[in-house]
Amino acid sequence: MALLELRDVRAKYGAIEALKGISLTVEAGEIVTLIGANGAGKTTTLTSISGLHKPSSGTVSFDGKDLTAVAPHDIVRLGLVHSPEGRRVFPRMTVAENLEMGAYTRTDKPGILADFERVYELFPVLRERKLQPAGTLSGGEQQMLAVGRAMMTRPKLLLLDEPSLGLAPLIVARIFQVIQTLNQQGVTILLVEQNARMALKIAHRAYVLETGEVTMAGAAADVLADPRVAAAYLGE
Amino acid sequence: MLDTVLQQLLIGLTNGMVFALVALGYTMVYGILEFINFAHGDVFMLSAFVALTLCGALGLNEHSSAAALAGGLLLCIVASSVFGGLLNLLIDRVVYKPLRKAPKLAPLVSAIGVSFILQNVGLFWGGMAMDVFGGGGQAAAPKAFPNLLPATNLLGATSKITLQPKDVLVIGASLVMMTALYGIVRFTKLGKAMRATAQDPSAARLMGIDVDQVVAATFLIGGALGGFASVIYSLYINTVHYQMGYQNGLYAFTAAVVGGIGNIPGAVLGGLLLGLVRAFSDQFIGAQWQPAVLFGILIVILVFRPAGLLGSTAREKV
Ligand SMILES: Nc1ncnc2c1ncn2[C@@H]1O[C@H](COP(=O)(O)OP(=O)(O)OP(=O)(O)O)[C@@H](O)[C@H]1O
Ligand SMILES: [Mg+2]
Repeated sequence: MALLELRDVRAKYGAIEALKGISLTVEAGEIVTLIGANGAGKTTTLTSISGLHKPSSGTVSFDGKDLTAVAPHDIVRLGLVHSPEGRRVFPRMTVAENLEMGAYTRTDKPGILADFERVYELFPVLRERKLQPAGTLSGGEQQMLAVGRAMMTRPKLLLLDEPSLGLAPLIVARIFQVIQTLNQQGVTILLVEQNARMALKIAHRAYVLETGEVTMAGAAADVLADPRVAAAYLGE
Repeated sequence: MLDTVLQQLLIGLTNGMVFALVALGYTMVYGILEFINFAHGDVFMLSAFVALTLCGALGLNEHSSAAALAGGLLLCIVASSVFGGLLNLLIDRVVYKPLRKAPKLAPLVSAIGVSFILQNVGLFWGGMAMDVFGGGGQAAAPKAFPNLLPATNLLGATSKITLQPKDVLVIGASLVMMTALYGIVRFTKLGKAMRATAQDPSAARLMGIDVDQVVAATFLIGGALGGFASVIYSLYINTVHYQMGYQNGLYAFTAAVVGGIGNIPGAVLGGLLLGLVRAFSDQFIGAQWQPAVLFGILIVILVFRPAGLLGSTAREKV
């Protein structure tokens, strides 16, 4: 059984149907990437999973549990965390407080402390900026904080929405490296990216989304090699 | 001259503390929902009615024993705070919560409506057949609030400056409440959840924060601060009236805006500033000019700092 399974998910904003029946699966241990043009429905797919924007029909199941009727704050407790588009750190809270909010649902003090260390080891700059308001961090640092904050929930599945957006190539490389490290440590990842080439290189499988529909799915290497993908998303 | 200045400073400070406590209720709710709870001033008013009713039921007046007065005062404070908190929570549940996703004007107009309804309740309550309410004959008349603290001058009978036990109570108790609130917001899990929710409600949800619960806690705490303020204010001013929430609420709301709406230290600063300006304007310019001077100064402040004294002009919200 897949860790995450979407079956015929539709989502609407008023009269606009942003998702027109999406089906996809993510197996435990995988990195799956979702690529597509602006407005294809990538973010909506993630918000439909994490519960911020409930689907109008279809099912989302995680770990065998139907999520459609579960409130977003309870979904986190099941081990599914969504790191949203645009980083969305809490700007007037310190770096440490932001990480603490990631551990909001947890009560295992020693585990939380260990995870603080884990995040600081992965992103040493966050340790240096521990007491600084998150709003004063650079874009790259804020992205690291957003990923760190999501890690603090101890997720089984991490949904990442465009973690490389607007970052310098060196920082992008670092973020992708961390995604792989997390995956090796056992975190399953569903990655939404505009940077299709890099996403396809680290992912196991990929889905291509076009105006609310899945138009292609398969092993990441095959998708990367597909001439249609190359033309539309890799700028070749 | 110095005496006069010190006296006005004291008056301004005590009044300012009350404005600040009420302003906190407006600002905390605004910080999280970007919504002005216009009924907050009337929650304050009805809480004062609860205190007065208690005083009447317990038969408290200047002639009661010191122990009875102290006990009665404590009971009034607890009862009015609990009442203010629960009433505010109830209003949110029944009126505002169903309108959370509605266009912003809907909850705003509803809040104004609730404000009028509560004033009507106050008017009705004022007609209660109880001695403290004047026997029930004149519902709309101001009611005397019993002096639960001795009206002695702590600085000695000959001093030109008057400092009464109730002044000490207002300032001391307000400081305690503000410090407690600061501690809650800064250090507790609930306080951090409140700040996170105020800064980014969607991101807060994604971290597992139950935003509805945080909003409820905010109404509860804000209402309780209002209820608490109503007792010390009634004690200070010795009167309660069904329209006391309207004027004080408007002043406190203004204080919150001048301090920077949504900003907790800003509400305290705005409240104190308002109290002080009011006291000095009354003394040196004349009480008949109070509204003009007060709001004139506040408008000037807002012209130069549109987001309020401590508000951030640049919306850092993503
Ligand atoms: N809050 C909203 N209200 C109305 N329409 C929306 C809203 N959010 C998204 N949409 C619409 O839904 C469609 C899918 O949007 P979505 O944000 O999911 O796309 P995306 O693939 O994430 O795009 P991008 O790459 O630009 O982030 C778009 O047509 C968009 O205009
Ligand atoms: Mg998007």
